[in-house]
Amino acid sequence: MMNNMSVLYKAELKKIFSKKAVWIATVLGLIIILLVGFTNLSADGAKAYVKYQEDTLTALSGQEMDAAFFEEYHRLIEKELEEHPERYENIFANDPGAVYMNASANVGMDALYDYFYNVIRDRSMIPGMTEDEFYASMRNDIEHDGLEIGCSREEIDTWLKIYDGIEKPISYSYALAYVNLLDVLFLIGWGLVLIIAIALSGVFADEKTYRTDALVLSTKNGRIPICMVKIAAGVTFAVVQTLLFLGVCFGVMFAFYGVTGWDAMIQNVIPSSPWNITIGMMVLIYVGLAVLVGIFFAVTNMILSHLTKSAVATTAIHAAIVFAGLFNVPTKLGLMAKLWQLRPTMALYYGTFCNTYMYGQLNNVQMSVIIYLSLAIIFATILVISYRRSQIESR
Amino acid sequence: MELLLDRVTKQYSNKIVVDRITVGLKPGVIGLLGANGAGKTTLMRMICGILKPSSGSISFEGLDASDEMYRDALGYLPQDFGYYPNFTGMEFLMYMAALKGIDKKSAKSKCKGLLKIVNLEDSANKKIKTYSGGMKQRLGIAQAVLNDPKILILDEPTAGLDPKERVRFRNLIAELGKDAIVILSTHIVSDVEHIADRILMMKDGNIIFDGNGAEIHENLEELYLKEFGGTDDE
Repeated sequence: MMNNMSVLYKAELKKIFSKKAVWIATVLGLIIILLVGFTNLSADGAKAYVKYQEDTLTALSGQEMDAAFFEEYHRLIEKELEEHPERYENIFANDPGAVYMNASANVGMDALYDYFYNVIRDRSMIPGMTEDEFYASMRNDIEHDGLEIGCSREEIDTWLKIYDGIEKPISYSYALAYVNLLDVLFLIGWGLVLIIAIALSGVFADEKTYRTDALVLSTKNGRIPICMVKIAAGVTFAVVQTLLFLGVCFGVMFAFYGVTGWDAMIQNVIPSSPWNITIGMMVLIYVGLAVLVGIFFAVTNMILSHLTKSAVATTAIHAAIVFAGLFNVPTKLGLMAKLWQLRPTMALYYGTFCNTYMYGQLNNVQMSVIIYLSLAIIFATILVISYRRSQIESR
Repeated sequence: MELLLDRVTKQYSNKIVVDRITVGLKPGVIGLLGANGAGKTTLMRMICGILKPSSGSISFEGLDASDEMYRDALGYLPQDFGYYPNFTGMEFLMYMAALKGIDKKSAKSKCKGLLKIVNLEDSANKKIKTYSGGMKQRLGIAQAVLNDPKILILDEPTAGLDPKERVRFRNLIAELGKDAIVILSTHIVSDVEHIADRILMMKDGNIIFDGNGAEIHENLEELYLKEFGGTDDE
């Protein structure tokens, strides 16, 4: 039996991977990832400058963001302003708030400046910013974000409690690779979902298109075993594609910006995150969520493929469902908005690790894992039961 | 060894396609003749377990047609069937062998032997999308007999075959009919009149003739033309 299953599994994988559209979409997706990488590089300046910035900020990595840290930053910027006043005369006249920004860039610390700005959200407050102001601002952002998306006071307090539990001062780390990763992961998630839709829409529907359904269904293993093998092959494809895309994306970012930051706290890349985890843990959770979302979409796609018996209709329905995820449900709709926040395309959005709704004792990631996993298992079970009862009516 | 059809009926809305057919089929070649819409393909699909009868039952050695072990004894060549275009002939047969539960090792030798019998040995590693209609039909015949079926259902199996291949095929069917129940549906009377041990003629979902051996050989063509008004194409 296992012998047969392995032959069928390989054959089903071959059917999926032999589609031209799959290869075209995969190659295009990988090209887009590389382009995004190069775009990031050109946006941040030449490779040499990125290296300079990496060296400067890596030297600060591991230092606690305490009073001494901020004093040292201000000292470096003031020194730059004193030594090269001519560089800033015009800027100061036109936009005083931009002086620190430009001085930070000139000493290879613009990523640090950007980071401070993301926390404090006010350029005029960066010069002279103290440790207390920095952490107070971080805490305020968490509260502000919660209120903005309509979290209850209880939910906000839960997250603030978690944030307060983080040991401070937090250690600084250069983590530009991860900052840029967060910018593109959402895009990659969308690309993956569409490739899965293209690749798996024919897993069941093609049997009717190729008129092989009668042959398959009349065989000993042509009901439950083949259905399970098809599901396994589809899920394998989704997992492989997810890991391939994420792997290439991580590779590009690490090649450009280095890997420094893995052990640093998440607040180094998402300042308004109340999560008490490291960046490395965040990446692992992202990868796990991406794989789970991939599996969920694969199973959803295959059940649609079986029910519609049309690859085109399946792709269209799938794409429509995904694009519906672009829209937000107003927070005043309460539970609807809360559930909508769990839609799969949101899982790879960096907001996943910000202040979000709570679902009883569970946070959004825990709830997402339970929902996607449960739905994937339920859909797969329905698919097997429905496929087992398949009939060949008139053509 | 007997395939039993007991009051098998298939009804769609107000139309009865197969009407309470009761028949017992024993090893041998059974020719199923009938014009378009007579209900032959529907009956064959029900025998294959891929279409559920509205009422009645189909069983073989105590196994219902919906049973996995029933399908294990079955070989089926549908009238309207296709292939996976990116598979080679050999890959397709290996895939079908796995579906039929044949272990990989014996499947390989079995597939090779069958490809030789259906004269596709040289094209075994070519993609099916490069095959001619006749080659595809021969590949279909090969997959139908892969598992040495006890019940072999062939729906219009000679379509697309040239006269020489048709003769080869008839001989193969006659051989298989010694140990298995071979049901062969065709609109070509000459395909079955010399090899069929029994003829079933269908019209409007009913069996209108059930005869065997010598009694049919003399007047089969005449009877068919009389029943179907000279139109023998399905």
